[in-house]
Amino acid sequence: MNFKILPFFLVCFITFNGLFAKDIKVVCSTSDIAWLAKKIGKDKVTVTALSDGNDDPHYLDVTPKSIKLVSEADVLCFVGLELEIGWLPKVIQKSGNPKIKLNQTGYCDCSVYVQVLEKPNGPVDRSMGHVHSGGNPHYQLDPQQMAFAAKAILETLINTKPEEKDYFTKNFELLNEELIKLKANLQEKTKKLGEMKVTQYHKEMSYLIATLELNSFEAVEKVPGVSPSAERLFSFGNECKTNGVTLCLATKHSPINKLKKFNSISQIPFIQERVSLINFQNEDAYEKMMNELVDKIIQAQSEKK
Amino acid sequence: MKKGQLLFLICFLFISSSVFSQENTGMKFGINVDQVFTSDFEKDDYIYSPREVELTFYGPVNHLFDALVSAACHEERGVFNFELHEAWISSSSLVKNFEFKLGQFFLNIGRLNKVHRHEWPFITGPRYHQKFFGDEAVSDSGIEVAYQIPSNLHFSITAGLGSGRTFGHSHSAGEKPDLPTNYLRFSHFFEAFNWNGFDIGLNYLNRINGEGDQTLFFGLDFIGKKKNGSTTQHLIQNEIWFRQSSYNAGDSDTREIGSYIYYQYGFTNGWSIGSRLDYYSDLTVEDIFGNKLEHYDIRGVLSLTYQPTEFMRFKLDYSYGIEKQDGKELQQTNMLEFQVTFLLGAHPSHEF
Repeated sequence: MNFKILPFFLVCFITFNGLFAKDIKVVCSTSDIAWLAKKIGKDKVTVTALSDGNDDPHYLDVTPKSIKLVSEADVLCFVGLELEIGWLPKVIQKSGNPKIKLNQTGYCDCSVYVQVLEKPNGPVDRSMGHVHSGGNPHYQLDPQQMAFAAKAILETLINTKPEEKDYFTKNFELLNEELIKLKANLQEKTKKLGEMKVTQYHKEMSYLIATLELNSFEAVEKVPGVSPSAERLFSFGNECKTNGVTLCLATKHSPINKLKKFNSISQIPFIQERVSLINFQNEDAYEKMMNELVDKIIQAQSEKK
Repeated sequence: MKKGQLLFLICFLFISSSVFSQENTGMKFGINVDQVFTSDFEKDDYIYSPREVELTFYGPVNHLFDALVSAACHEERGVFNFELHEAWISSSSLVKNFEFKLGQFFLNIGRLNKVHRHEWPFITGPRYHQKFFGDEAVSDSGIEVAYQIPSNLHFSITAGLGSGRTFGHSHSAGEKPDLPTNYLRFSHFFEAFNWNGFDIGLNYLNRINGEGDQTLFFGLDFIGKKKNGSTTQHLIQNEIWFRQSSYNAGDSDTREIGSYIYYQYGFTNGWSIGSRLDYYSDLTVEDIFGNKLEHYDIRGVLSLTYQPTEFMRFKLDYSYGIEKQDGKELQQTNMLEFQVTFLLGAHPSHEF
């Protein structure tokens, strides 16, 4: 064998390896965070989501699939505020991936810049039900908070690949504009409704209610995460009626029998919708989901009138 | 002071001191309590006791290793024994796709053996499990290595070597075996039918004790889950095990087979119903003339569960079964069990 050609192959290998530099592998705990990562990283990233709109990210299983995906990730982005506390720490531990461990370059807690709602003032314990000590983690329903989450992703991507800083920053700025515009449009849409008081089944809609500047009236669940009793449904249904509540918002995971019972007691309609994306690869998936959600609220309100 | 009491005291001191010293270490701890009321209609007797109180401590040791220590207080025939369940360190960071575990642990074989009893989907294990692996599970001191084959098909191989001085539930130090406990599990995880996933495993275990008696196991385990939010809407779990035991250097041997299949349906407000069918048979029962006799034990269990949150569970199981040999009834099971389990503090999450 002629060993003189070895340096030639070596040079070719290094050159081609540089030309076809690998994308950043980004793994996200939810499809909403994955949508943000894709919008910022575009063709420089390969994004995977561990859950989508069909799953409840509080209660995912630690599967060999999620461990494998995280073990190969350059970046791990998650919602934070203890939303994934039941499963993500185990996935990180089992993955053995040093890049995405606590405070390493690829560790991205998207909640760091989020203006958190319902942050408990004092200590939290289990007698208070399913309360997150860091505050409400369901900020994906506020485009403004999504922009703050995107900022955390931007910083992580820049730290992972500093040479693409301008590319990521430009995409982030476009995304930021898009989200601010979306928020203004949604608010414009709901302005027509005038004063409106809504309640929610579980406090997963708080950010949406705040974004649309609606009046919020407690939640059907007296203790967060605990199914309401018949007595609670009866008393709260009547309370909602006397307080002028006109709509109840709920997610697909809320029990339909409880919502129907609440409706039969209070005569207040409810809408039950997905609050996370199914296909995050679609560029306009988030805008579409938010518009559909707001249209459903407007429709339910018009029917009520 | 007895050894058990000393261990209990050490754990208590550890908990109280750790409350003040665990900050910035990442260590978490929890206490699981499992209380069972059993009414045995056949024996016309009942018993109510805390079946088990388990203390668990876990967290990272350093940037490479994690550790877990758990000790449990068990009720056995009216006497409480405090014993070490698990004490191990593990690492997934040393070699890519490999996980190493060193210390004392429940062997990663089958489904029930690797999950603590208070988290089983039923109160009491199938009869074959009690006979093959004890009331709870087989734990041993040794090393276990798990390797995830790097492909998107999610195949894993787990191999382990235990000291083999004891097997199943034992309070003695045991004796040096001729062949230590060695085991292998080959498993495959897949997604299908819009369920969260399925996991199927093939198991092998072998041990020869100090007197030359060999115990050989082959098993198949399966689980499938479909969740809706916090509710496990559908759960299907199944194990089939075969045990061959050879005594007196192969002069006599027994072959037994055991299995169960469990299905659970969950409603959205914390309630679920389930049913289990168990089967156990000793394939080597003979009469005094050496003629083979038919033997089987068949049992059905109906369950009702209420789980208001993930930290508490109430369960009611009714079991009815019959054991027959050569057409004659040996014993009947007719039992009602009520279980309350709760968790104070934290508990490490389980793998699928």
